[in-house]
Amino acid sequence: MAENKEVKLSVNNLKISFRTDGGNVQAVRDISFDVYKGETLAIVGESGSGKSVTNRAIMGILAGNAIKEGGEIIYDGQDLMKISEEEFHSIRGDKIAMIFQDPMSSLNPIMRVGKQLTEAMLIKGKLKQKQSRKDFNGTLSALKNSMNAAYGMNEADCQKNKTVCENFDKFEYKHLELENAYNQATVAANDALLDLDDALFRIEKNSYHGVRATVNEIVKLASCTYNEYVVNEDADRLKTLLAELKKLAALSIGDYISKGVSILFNRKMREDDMDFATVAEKLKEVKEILTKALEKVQPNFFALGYYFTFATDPLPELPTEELNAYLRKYLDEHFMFNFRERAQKGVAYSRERTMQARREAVALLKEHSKTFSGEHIDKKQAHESYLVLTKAVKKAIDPLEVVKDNLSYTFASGLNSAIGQYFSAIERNAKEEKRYATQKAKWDRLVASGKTPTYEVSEKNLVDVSAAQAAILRIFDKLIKHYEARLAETDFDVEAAAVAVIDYLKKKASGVAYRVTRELAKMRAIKLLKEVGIPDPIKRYSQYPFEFSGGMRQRIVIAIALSADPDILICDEPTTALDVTIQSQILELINKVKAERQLSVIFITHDLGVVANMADRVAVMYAGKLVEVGTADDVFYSPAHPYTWALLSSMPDLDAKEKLEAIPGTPPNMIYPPKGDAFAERNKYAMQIDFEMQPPMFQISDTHYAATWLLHPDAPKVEPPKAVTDRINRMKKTRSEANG
Amino acid sequence: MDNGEVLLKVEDLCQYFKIGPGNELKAVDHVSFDIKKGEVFGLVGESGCGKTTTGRSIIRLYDITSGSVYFKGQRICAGVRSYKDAIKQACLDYETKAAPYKGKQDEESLQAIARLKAERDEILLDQKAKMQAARYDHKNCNKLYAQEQVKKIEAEYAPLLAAETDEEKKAALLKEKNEKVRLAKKDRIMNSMQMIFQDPIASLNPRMTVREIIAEGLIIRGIKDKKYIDEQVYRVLNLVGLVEEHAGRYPHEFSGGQRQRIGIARSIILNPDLIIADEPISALDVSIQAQVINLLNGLREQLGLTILFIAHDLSVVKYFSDRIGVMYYGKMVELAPSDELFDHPLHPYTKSLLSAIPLPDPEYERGRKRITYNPLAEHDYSVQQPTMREVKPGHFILCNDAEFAKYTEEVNKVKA
Repeated sequence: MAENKEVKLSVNNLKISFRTDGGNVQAVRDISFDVYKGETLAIVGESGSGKSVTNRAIMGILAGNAIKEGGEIIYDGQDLMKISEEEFHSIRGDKIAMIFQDPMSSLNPIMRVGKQLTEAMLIKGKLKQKQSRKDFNGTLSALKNSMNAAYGMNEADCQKNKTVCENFDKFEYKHLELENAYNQATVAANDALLDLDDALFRIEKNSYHGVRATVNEIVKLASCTYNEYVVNEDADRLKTLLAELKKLAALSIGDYISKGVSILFNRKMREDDMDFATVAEKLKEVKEILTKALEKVQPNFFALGYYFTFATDPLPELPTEELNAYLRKYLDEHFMFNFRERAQKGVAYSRERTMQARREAVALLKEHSKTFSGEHIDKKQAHESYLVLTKAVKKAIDPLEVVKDNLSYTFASGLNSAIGQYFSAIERNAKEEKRYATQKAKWDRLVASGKTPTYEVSEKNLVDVSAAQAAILRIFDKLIKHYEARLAETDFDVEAAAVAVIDYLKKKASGVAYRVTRELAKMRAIKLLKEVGIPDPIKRYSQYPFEFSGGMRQRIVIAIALSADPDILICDEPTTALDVTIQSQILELINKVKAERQLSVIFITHDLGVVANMADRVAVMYAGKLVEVGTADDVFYSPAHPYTWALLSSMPDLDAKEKLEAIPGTPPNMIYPPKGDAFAERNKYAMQIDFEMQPPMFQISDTHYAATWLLHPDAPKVEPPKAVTDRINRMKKTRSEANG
Repeated sequence: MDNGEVLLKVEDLCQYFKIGPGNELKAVDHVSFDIKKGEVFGLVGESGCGKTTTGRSIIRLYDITSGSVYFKGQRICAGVRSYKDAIKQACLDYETKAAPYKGKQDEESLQAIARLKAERDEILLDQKAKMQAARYDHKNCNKLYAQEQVKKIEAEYAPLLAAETDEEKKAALLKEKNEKVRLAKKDRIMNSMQMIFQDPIASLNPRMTVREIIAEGLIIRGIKDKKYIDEQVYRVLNLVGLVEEHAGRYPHEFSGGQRQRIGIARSIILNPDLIIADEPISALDVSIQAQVINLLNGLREQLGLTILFIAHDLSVVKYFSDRIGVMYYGKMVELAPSDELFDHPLHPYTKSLLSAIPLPDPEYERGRKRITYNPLAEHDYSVQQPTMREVKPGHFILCNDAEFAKYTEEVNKVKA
């Protein structure tokens, strides 16, 4: 199951420690996990287990005293442990966003909420546009080149390819312009309809609080819906209706005069003073118009864009459905068939070339791995091999592959640092040997001269060179295996690949056409505020964080995180400080956004109920190590590690009445991590070996792993504690009862 | 456990805060409940619903706006807003009723006005007397309690002193009595109500040692005997699972769970009858939460404590409480024994609240649907305002006549 999914982020052998006065605190000790596209990975553990540190490393916001001891975090063809701060700017917040635990400390207290929301949008908007343009041009020219090569580089075909690509470039923008305008109008109409229902409901129930503001908002939203393809025939009627509504909802000067200044201060007077019957009537009429407008068929903008750009005849007057068919045909005949055919050839050619390059690369890799596998690695030779190999691997990257081949991209930097580590290890060991030799000689001389030395020569502190060498060879092995697997693949769908490339180009083009203005940013911000469930977003937009309650603040933080449309969302205990109702709303919100945008979510929490709600997979952490990984069902219904048992049994649930099983003691001091299993001291199932050796990860099923000696074939059979099994049985029972 | 003796009685408690000219925030609005001796009463609701304010009003951290709170049979706080409103209403009534007779000089009118005036004055006098009594009780509850204690001691020692003939023994007895009277004079009724706060870091003074923090209450009570104080401090430290060596340390040297234990030790050193626990485990780690819950449960059995438990983690409240009150926007909407509340919730808000609890069961979570609560859609209070009514013995709910009928039907259906 897991193999079919696209890996978005992979963490390998991550090790992080912190320099403190007392010594180095080993916060994360060698953990590895993958995050797949569109799934939620929940990381569970007590405070201090290293779950936040792991995620801060992914975000590149580790504290200043952190030492990155090793490991890699691979995302989108880059190793996040090695890239520079500048490169991180385009990832942090944009591709990987984070929601922090304490909303008060992650918001700026002296900046209005609206500004905080739009700030990043405005700054990043331009950068994104530039980046999209660059990506678009790069991919399009790569496509053109490979098309040219596929057609054998003859003059006429090259010219044809060029025009085809240029044409695509041209009309792509026209289509996006039209589509953007249409989308804005429909979104406004949808929002207006929602508000309309709310206002009508309130009027019906005689609860007038906030109706005036809502009506004003409806007027504002509905006036954005005039568009050729949305509100067209009824535009005039809508205009007059809105003008009347605006008049009704406004406080006139006459009001001030007749009721005195007190109306300014008396909310009740302001709220109730409206002709609600008329307003309701008008609102109903507006609703009719908008509903009708939204029922219309959406025109095919892609084809429309082409027609507007290249066709000389005016657009025929047809109903939308027929028009769509007509446009589609026109586009296909004049452009799309040709373009797709050429693109397919180009993609196929590019693929063929890459495969050839991979075959060569494998051969080269195998040959050059000899350089590194001997007793001693020659520095000069290593350098030469490095240059040759990086060139070969770079060639083996298909520029037209939409899903990036992470291993090829990170090969160069990985190999470079591995070789560097090897040689620095040799250098350090030589130095150490020398120091030991001189000190020992001195000590021997003292002894020889009959004196008793008052000191002792400290032992040699040597770095394991063979481990560094093994690391280099591992990189080779991994890549060779990867390439061989790719080469063995036979089912390559040229059509699908070509469509994927075209879609990628379309997406990038929309990034170019999407210009973030101040006005647009504000609209989006208000929409986001509404999306995260903040009532009265227009008023809230210009308030300061202290004017919000805790739950509201957290929602704003979520809105900020979502504003950049990230790939991966890291939630660091986002609901720990909130109560159940708000918590439930926020979890629903995250789940909804995840489903809509195919987000990968890393969810950190210690509330197992929340984990059960959110997680597709669960990773349990203790003292900087992963102790259990599995799908939610694995971990909740057949937990295997004693720590997971303890967590599950220490939490009261709705049916528990017996004494809770608290976990005795506190987590170990991570300056001096215990030699064996870190949980052994608090574990009543601990065996002798738990205190002496760290357990490896034992595989229980395809998806379920746990690091405990209890799973060793020689270990005595231990059942989970009664509290846990009882609960699992009880849950099963209530579920079957509920189902019938 | 439930011997029916009411320890704390809250009647029509209102706590309003001023927010700008002419506007008031009704943080707690006409809340009534009572807590029996030895039980744990849970108070739940979303943040901002007034549950913490209720706790703080009961322990007199705020001066309440209206209503009264009785503790051990004595009124400890009282607000006067309701009496003021009654006076205002009486004056208004008088104005409207007397309007037709105003300005007329005939006998009948004069008589009618005089009659109405007398009626009004009677109400005014009555309400003013009540107001005065409330103000007096509110101000002097500690003094009254101390006087009562002193009287008790006097009564206890009077026959002993009279019976004693030996001068020396009499002098010793007198001395003993005087010491007791001195302490009793400093005794306050509020001493037997203590609070545990949410944040164990913020609620402990970082410059005081644990011994000083815990003993502060005793010292304020006027106890000077160092040895006795130390004894007491060690006793409570042992009770909460800490050891004597911890007394000399400062709060920052402890972990979160241990700090919360210190907070609990501080609250039980004066042998209180009632403890108000304001989200005592929300700020703690999972593995520590269970420790603190077990500790509170143990203390409750050992010391016979009564606890008002304020929390938003419903599974903990369910586990820990005997009865639960659900609050929504300053009003108590449902009050029932905990099993009853979780098995047969009646009020739509309670249903929505219960549907939001996540359980450690992925299969269940996939099927869980949160019920949203929209008071406008659920209730129609345009005809009649809701009041607290008993649908079933021990199960109270905020409703009006129409809803009451509906709820009773629901209850009967469940029974059948």
